[in-house]
Amino acid sequence: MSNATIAAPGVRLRAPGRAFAKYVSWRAERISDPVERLGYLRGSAAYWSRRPLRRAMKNARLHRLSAFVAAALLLPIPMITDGAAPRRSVQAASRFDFFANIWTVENSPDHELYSNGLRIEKRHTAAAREAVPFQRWRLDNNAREENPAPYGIVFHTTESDARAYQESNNRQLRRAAEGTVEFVQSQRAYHFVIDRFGRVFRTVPENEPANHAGTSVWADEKYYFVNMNHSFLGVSFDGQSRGADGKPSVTEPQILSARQLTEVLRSRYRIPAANCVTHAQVSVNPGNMGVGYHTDWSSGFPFARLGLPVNYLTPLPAITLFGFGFEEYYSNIAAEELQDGISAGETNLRQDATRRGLSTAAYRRFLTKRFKEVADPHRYVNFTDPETRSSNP
Amino acid sequence: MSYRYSDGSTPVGLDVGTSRIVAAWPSETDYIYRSELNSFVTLPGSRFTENVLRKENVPHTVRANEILVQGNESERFADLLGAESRRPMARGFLNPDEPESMTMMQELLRSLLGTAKHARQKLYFSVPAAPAGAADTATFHEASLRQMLTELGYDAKSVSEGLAVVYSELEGSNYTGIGISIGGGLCNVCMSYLAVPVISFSIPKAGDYIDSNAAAVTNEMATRVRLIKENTFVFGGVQQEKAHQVISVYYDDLINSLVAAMKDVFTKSKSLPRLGRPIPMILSGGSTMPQGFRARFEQAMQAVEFPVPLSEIRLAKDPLTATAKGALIAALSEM
Repeated sequence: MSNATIAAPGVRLRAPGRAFAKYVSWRAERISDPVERLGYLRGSAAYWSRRPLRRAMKNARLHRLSAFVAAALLLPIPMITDGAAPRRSVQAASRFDFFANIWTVENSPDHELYSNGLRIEKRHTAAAREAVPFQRWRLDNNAREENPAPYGIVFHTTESDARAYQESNNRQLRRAAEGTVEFVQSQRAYHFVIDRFGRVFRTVPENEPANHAGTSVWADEKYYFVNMNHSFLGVSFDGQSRGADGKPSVTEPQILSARQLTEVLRSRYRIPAANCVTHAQVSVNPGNMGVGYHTDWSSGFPFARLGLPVNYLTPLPAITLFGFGFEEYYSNIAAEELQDGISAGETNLRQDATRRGLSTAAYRRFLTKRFKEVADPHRYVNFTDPETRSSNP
Repeated sequence: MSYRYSDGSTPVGLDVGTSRIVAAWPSETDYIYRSELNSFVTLPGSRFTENVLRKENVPHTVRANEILVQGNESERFADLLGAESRRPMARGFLNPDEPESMTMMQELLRSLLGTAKHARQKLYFSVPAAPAGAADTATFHEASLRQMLTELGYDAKSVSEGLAVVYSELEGSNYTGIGISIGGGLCNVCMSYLAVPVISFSIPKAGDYIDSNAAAVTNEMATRVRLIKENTFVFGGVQQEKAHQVISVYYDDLINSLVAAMKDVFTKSKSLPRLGRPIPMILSGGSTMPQGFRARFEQAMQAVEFPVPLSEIRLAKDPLTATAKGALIAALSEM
C-alpha cells in the first residue's frame, strides 16, 4: 500500500520544478501499480507544496539519501533545448559556486603550504614540460576555446591493493604510498595523489595535461569537454573504489585533505562546483558507445564532505550530447544517484529525439556520428601528447 | 494487491454528477460500480402506494401528503405519470431552485452508499471546477456534499471531476494529460501534470443543455429527448429524424463552445508547465457516448490552433464510470 503523505486540506498541490520533474517521472515510471504510482506522485506534489521552512525541517529528518537529493536541488542540471549544435545546458545558480579566499603561506622546494592547512608535497613532481593550454567547446556553436587554467577536476582512485589502515601497518603503508606515487609520476597519470595518511603529492604540474581521463565527456552550462586530459585536472585517492566490503577504501585523512585540495584548486582556477566530477561519470568507451568505461568512484564519492553538490545526479552529458548508452554492469555498480543521472540522460535523449521527429535509435546514430567528429584527435593540430586511453582504472 | 481495511471494508470513489451518481469500490481483481439517477419524482401520498413501493423495494421518502421516489426508479415513474422528474442538482451544482435538493441528495447518497463501516473509511467525491472566467462557485456545493458524507460516517475528500478522469485513465503517462468530463450539467476540463492539476475549469453546457433546447424545438419532453439521444442518436451522415437533426445541431454547438473555451483558457494561462512531449486528452461522461462523438470532437480540435500539443484524443474505457473510478484511485492512493 502506498504511504503517500498527501497535502493537508487547503494546501494547493504544486508540481515539482522542471529539473526535478524528470527525476519524479523516472521514479514514477518504475512503479507498476497505478494506485501506488499515483500515491507517489501526489506525495511528491505534497512535498513540493509545503512551505520552504517546513520542507527544510522535514529534510532534516529524512534519510541520508534524501539529504543528497535535497542537495541536488541546488545542482546545475543540464537540460534540453532544440538546436543543431550539441545541446546547450541550463544550470541553476549554484550555491556551491563561491570561492574561498586562500593564499600561499609557504613555498619551499619540497612543499607548499596554504592558508586552509593544505600541504602539497613537491618532491615527486614530474619534470616540467612545455605548458599546454586547456581546451573546451562552446555548446551553442561548437567553437573551441583555450585557457591556461584547467576547467574542472576529475576524481579517481589508484585501485592500489594496500594493507589495512592501522598502526601496525605503518611501514608497509608508507612504502606502498611511495611506490604508488613514483609510478603515477612516471606515467604522468594524475596531477595529484592523496595517500592513505592524507598526504597530498603533486605528480604533474597543473599547467600540463596528465593521462588521467582518457576518452571522456562532460559538459557544464556553456561548454562541453571531450577527452578531458586536456581540460580537467586529475586528483586520485590512493585506494580502491570498492574495497573488500564493497565500499571505497579511502581513509578519513584522505577525505579531509581532498576537501582542502579541492578548495585550493577551485579557488585558484575558479572551477565551478558542477565541474568537479568522478572518473566513472565522464569515462566513455567509443568502441561500444557506452558510458562508464572506467568505473572508479561510480559510487560512494563524498561530494558533500568535499563541499560539492552531488554531481552524480547530473544527466550524463555523454548520453544527452553524444548518444552514449550504458551496459547493465555499469548501472549495477553505480550509486543510486548516478543511476538517476543515467536515467535522466536517457529521458533527455528520448525527448530530444521526439522533438526532432526521429526515433531514439536514429537520433542516437546521429549523435554518435557527431561524437566521432568531435573526438577526432586530428581535428586540432596543436594537441600535444594526445592520450586517448588512460591506463588508470 | 488487496485494498481492504482490516474489517473488510474498502475506500469508496463517488462521482456526483448532475444526472447520475456513480459509486466505485475495489474488488479483488477490478472495480465494482453502482449508480443511481440523480433525480426524483413526486407522487400523491397514499397508504396503498407506499405499501407497493415498500414491497417492490423502490427507494422513496414519505412526506405529509406526498411520496418522493428517488434514484433509478424515478425515471420509470416520471414516464408513467407523464411528468418531468425533479433534479437535486442543476448545471453541476446543488440545484438552488429545488427546495428538496439537499434532502433528496442525502437520501440518494444513503441508499447508494449506506453508512461507513468506520470513521477512517476514505471516500473521494467529485466536484465540478469553477466555470471559466468565474470566481469560485463550488465552495457551498462541496461543503454541503462533504457534510452529508461525513454524516454518513465517511472520511470524505473532494477531487475535481476532470482530475478524476485523469486518475482513471492516464496512469500510462504518469497522470499527465487533459481529462474532460462531459456530463449532464457541465463540461469539466482539467489539465494534470504529474498528477497535479494545473488548469481546471468548467463550462455550463452539457447534456441537459442539448436536451432542454432540443425539447423546446421539437416540442418533446426533455426526458424523452435524452432517451433518444442516449439510445438511437449517431453522429455523421444525414440525419433522417427531426429529433436527431436538432440533437446534432446542439451537440455541435456544445463541442464548439467547449473547444473554444479550452483554447481561450489554455492560451491565456500562465501556469502551463513546459512539456517535453505531446500529452493525451481523455473524453468521458455520458454525453460522449453517441457513436462518432470522438471523431467529431477531434475534428473540432483540429480546426483550432490548440496551444498544447496532443498525442491523442480518446474516449475513456467506460465513460460512465471513469470519474468514479478516478475518485476511487485517489482514495486508494491514500490508504
